Amino acid sequence: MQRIDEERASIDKLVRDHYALVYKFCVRRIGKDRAEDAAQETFLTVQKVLPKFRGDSSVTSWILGIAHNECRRVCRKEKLEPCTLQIDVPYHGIGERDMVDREALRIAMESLSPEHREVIYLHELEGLTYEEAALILNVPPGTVKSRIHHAFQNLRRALYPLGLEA
Amino acid sequence: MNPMKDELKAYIDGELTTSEARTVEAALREDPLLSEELEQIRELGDSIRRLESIEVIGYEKTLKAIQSRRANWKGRLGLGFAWAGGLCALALTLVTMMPNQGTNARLQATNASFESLERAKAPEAASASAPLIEFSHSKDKAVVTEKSARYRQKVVSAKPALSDAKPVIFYVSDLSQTCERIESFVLKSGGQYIFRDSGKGSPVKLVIQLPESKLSSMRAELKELNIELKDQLTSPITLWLSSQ
Repeated sequence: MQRIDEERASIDKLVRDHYALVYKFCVRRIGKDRAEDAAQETFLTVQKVLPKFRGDSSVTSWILGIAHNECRRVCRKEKLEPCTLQIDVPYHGIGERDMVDREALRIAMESLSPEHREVIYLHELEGLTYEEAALILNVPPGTVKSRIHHAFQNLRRALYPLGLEA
Repeated sequence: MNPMKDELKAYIDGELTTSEARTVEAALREDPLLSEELEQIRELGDSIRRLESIEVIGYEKTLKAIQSRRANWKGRLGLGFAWAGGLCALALTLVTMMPNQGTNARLQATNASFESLERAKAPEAASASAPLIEFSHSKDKAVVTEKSARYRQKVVSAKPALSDAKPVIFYVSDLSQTCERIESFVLKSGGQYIFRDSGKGSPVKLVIQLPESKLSSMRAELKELNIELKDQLTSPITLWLSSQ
């Protein structure tokens, strides 16, 4: 009985601590319309396989790995293209120049290859280390390092075309 | 071009070793352009993190779904105990009927040594808390996994009386009392054997229940046979038909 109580407390805590991260993760990959269901499915899977989690990776990367698989399943099922960043630009308290920069950055992000965009999401927005991102993508950490470097090169090339080669 | 340029992003992210980071820092001290580039990359990272604004929805709904599934499990658990009781009774009936079945004739025809299910019952293996190990092999691979799943399919009809690790022929009787031929390994460390055949052409599964004391010798034996032991036991078997 104590174990059941522990598992219950544990899954509730996992949802509380990671729901926002997982939901945003799903929004970035499959869009707002499908993200809520995908996030829910992710946590139902987490609940199911929690007793098997052995702590080989961090809890966050383990849960995002499950979310990653769920998003891929949705993409396959609904034949979706990889999604772009969902940006809701706030209209108050922001200058015109900032608006332009944000739009330029959004366009630059969209121009990245899916592989480069994915590592930016995982590392910059979801806060994973290179090693954790590598586990989710099933590639060596060196590949993640290289992809992030090249993704940033491409972004800078798009945003500062004159300054980069100096 | 400064060769350290390629390392700047990993340096900002704290992903370099101490000596690599020191090399980058030395290069930054000597090259002002490199320092400018470092700042530009850092700012770009900050801009990306500030870029999006996603309103989070569905948290309560997900919590409710999890609680609802939990409630369903409780209901199923109760039903499961009822089924377990019924299955155990069926298994006992099968055990008493087994020696009279056509199975014995088929066993003699292949000169394989078997014991009846009742004789196969090892007292130490009968404990409900003994670990469950699942063995599966197909044409080109063999994997043994310690499982926590509830076993609920078939009842073994016999136990081989061989003492060395060679492929042998086993006969298996399931609850419908049909016999199937399955090739498998005999493990020297003993224990009680249960087989499950999920259908023609699919991998054969062997479920072995062993007491804790025999686990280490079995692991060594599996290693000797080049069989991979995967996963760790997470909880004991809850239903064990042949030991009833």
